[in-house]
Amino acid sequence: MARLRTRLTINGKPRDWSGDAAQPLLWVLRDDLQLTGTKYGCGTGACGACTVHVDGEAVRSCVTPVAGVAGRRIVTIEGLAQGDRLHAVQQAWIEHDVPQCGYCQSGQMMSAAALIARQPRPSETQIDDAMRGNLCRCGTYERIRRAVHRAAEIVAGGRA
Amino acid sequence: MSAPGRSQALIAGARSMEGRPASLPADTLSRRALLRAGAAGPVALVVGFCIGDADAQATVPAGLSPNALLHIDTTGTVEVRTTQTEMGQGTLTGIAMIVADELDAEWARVRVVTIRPDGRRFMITGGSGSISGAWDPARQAGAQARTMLLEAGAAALGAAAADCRTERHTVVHGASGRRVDYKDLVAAAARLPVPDKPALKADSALGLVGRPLPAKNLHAIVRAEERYGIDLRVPGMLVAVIERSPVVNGRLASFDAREARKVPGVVDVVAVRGNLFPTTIYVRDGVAVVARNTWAALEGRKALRVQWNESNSERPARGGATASTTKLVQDFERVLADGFGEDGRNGLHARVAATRRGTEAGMKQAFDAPGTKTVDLTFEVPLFAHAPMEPMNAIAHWQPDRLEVWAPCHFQSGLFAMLRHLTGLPAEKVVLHTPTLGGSFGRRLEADYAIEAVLVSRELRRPVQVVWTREDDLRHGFFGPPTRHRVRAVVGGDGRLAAVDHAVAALSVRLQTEPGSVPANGLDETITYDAVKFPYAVDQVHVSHRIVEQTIRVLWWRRGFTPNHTFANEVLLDACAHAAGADPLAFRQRLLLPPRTVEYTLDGYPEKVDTGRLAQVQRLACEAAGWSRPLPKGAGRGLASTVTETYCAQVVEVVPRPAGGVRVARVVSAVDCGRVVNPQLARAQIEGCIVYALTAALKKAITVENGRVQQAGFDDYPLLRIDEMPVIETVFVPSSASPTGLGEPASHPTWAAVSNAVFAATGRRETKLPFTLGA
Repeated sequence: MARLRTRLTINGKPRDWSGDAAQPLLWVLRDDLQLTGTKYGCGTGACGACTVHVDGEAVRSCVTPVAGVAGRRIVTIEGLAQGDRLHAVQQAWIEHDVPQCGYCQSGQMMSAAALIARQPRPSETQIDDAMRGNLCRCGTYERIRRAVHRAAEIVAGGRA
Repeated sequence: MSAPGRSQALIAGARSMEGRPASLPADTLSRRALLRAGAAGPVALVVGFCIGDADAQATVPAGLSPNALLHIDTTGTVEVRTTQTEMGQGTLTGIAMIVADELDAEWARVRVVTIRPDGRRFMITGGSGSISGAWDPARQAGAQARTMLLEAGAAALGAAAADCRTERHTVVHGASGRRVDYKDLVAAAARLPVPDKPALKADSALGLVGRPLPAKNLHAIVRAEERYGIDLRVPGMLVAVIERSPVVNGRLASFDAREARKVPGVVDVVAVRGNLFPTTIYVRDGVAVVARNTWAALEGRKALRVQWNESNSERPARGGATASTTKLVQDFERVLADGFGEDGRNGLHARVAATRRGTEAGMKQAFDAPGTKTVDLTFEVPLFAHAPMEPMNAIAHWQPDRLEVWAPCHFQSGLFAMLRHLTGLPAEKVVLHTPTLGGSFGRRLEADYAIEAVLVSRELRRPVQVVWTREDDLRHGFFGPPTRHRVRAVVGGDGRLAAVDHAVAALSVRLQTEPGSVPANGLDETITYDAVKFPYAVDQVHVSHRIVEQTIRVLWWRRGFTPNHTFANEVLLDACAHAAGADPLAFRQRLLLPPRTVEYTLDGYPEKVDTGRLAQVQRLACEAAGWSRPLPKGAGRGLASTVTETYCAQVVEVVPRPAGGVRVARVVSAVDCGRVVNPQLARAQIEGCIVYALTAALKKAITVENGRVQQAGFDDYPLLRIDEMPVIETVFVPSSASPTGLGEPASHPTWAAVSNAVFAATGRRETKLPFTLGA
């Protein structure tokens, strides 16, 4: 096991961390840093529940070794809102009552936020491409789609 | 009527759990269960009520046994405390709305929580029974508290109660407009007697019920502040990952943990000694790697060397390493073909039992009558996993004289009784918390993961969280019950149904989870019920089951057996309509009208089906879908419907795919669930049910060979994705009838509606799940 001692930047804050360099970012967040909003769903990058942003890109933290993200900008669901001000995606998720059990929704919102940052007015195909890797067993997909469009509107029109 | 009683019978069977309401000492609950905090505690107004209390009342004549409490403190905060758990179905919000409406409470000042089991309450959430079971008692509790507050408020305002009214958390004096907040009335109201029969609001006065309010935990979820079981952290807690016997009833022979112990962070490696299946909660033998964090535990598990004894003498035929879905399908075929299929030498013993409406002679006559047409179809439903997104997990802290457990589950009284049995501790020394569940669909009725946590914590004497990986979930979990049906029907020359003979081969959830729960006549009614419940006009109905045994574990799966039978019945009806040269809607309507009430019983619990309501949802679904509107070439529409207290009809549209075959493009549902408590949450349940059923219809089944589940994750057990979604449209029948449940019903007609649509488009009957859709 390769030992790593590094400084991670998570939600704008520096966090000193040491441990197994191969440890996936997911477990560093959940177990070492107590950021449990990022969820474990499969451990193989197949469900998207663990999605975080690394330098603005949506990344599956369960298959991302922590060594690969040292020095990069990591944002988790806990860092999506600016204080009390919810991110447009979170606002849209509330307006459209998206969640059922809610377990996958952190990952869904992180994928949606990365999409909107890149594509301010995403097409249906772009939504498909960005969101098809996020599974929801409760079946909230139609609401997710509507909420992504709504989030784009909120961003375009200022804070609606 | 006892809808929840019947639902409980369905999921909990005859299991005589400690904690049935009957065990409550009646004297503490007299006077309609009003509990008052004395001088020792803070003052609160508390009214007890009993969700789904129909059978409780019958057995406890001395008074109600509250399993829910309406609690109002002196800040005016209303807290609804229920036995129900939240897993995405919106139940807690719905129950709170019902209480708050009658109470005239301000919605923002209402909270809802799940109470802990104490050995005196039956606690289960399932069978889509929570809202129907809560409706009357929750309204009554709200009205009782409102009446008491009104009286206290009138006194405070120096007025007669008749001159005052309640609105938005206040009592208002009509003439003067003077008002006083509920919070200032709690102390006085708590001293008043609880009225026995308070006046309920007129339907037109209901203000919260019927509104599309957000779920109470919506903001917490969106802010990632909702804590699921897997997110809980207890001081001093370690994490355990368990290597389990690859086959059911395999025993741990030996293990070498030297390499595992070298993994940094690993604290200990301990054996888990399970029990033998079938039993109430089966726990596999295993080896637990206990570590400071999940990653170390996972790495430690990889480094384990374990020897299993897979062929121990306690293993039954078709058990352990010989379990196989290939063999299961063959067994199903044989017992249906032979009728009995007894083959003791090869370990095949079918439990055969039957029930009929009509006579044997009548059935024979119907099949032999000249000028009739016979439809003969065979259906196959394989294994499907529950696969909720939150993997199984639980925390246990074993102490010498106390056990504390945090387990996302929804049959708390069952787990609680088991925890007491394991520890020998009195009820007050066993503390069971149930956090929000990240989905369940039936899986978390059996909390084997919690027992594992207890066993490991007992070894370490520290709090231990057991975490299952996704692979563990698919390999060692439960599956919806597989069945094979042979269904034959006779369509008379007049276009009416003369007879239906339905034989189903199945694995029995009951025999597996509650050995001994099937009555002496051998009939497991949970298997036959939804085939017997065939409310179409037909003189002769014969339903038989042939239960075979295998160590493939089955459990309620968004009910289970209901989707299977609805698939068989509703494709059969489509085929009968085709044989009669009739339109599938018109054919069904003729068999349902004029409206009549048909009564069925499951374990003695009655259920009444109104064929008029069923006919109505069929017409509404077809109307909304444009049933008679022409479709493009190669497309087709299919209709199917079901009743599980809630009436639900669906029309599915399939359209050709450029690459060949068809795809599901649209699902239109018409639902009669009585009064809709919360339209947006209700709609969400319909959407969720459809996605759940479509995943099974269009994706992959679970297979078992050599006793081992062959799927390991979402790559080989895929779920429906966002880009595969059909358009979903739902209409609710306006109704003032008491509400019925929505957690399961809309998942039941989907398979048949898809199959019937494929037939309309291609002329081919899909009778085996998952479907190929002609590709």
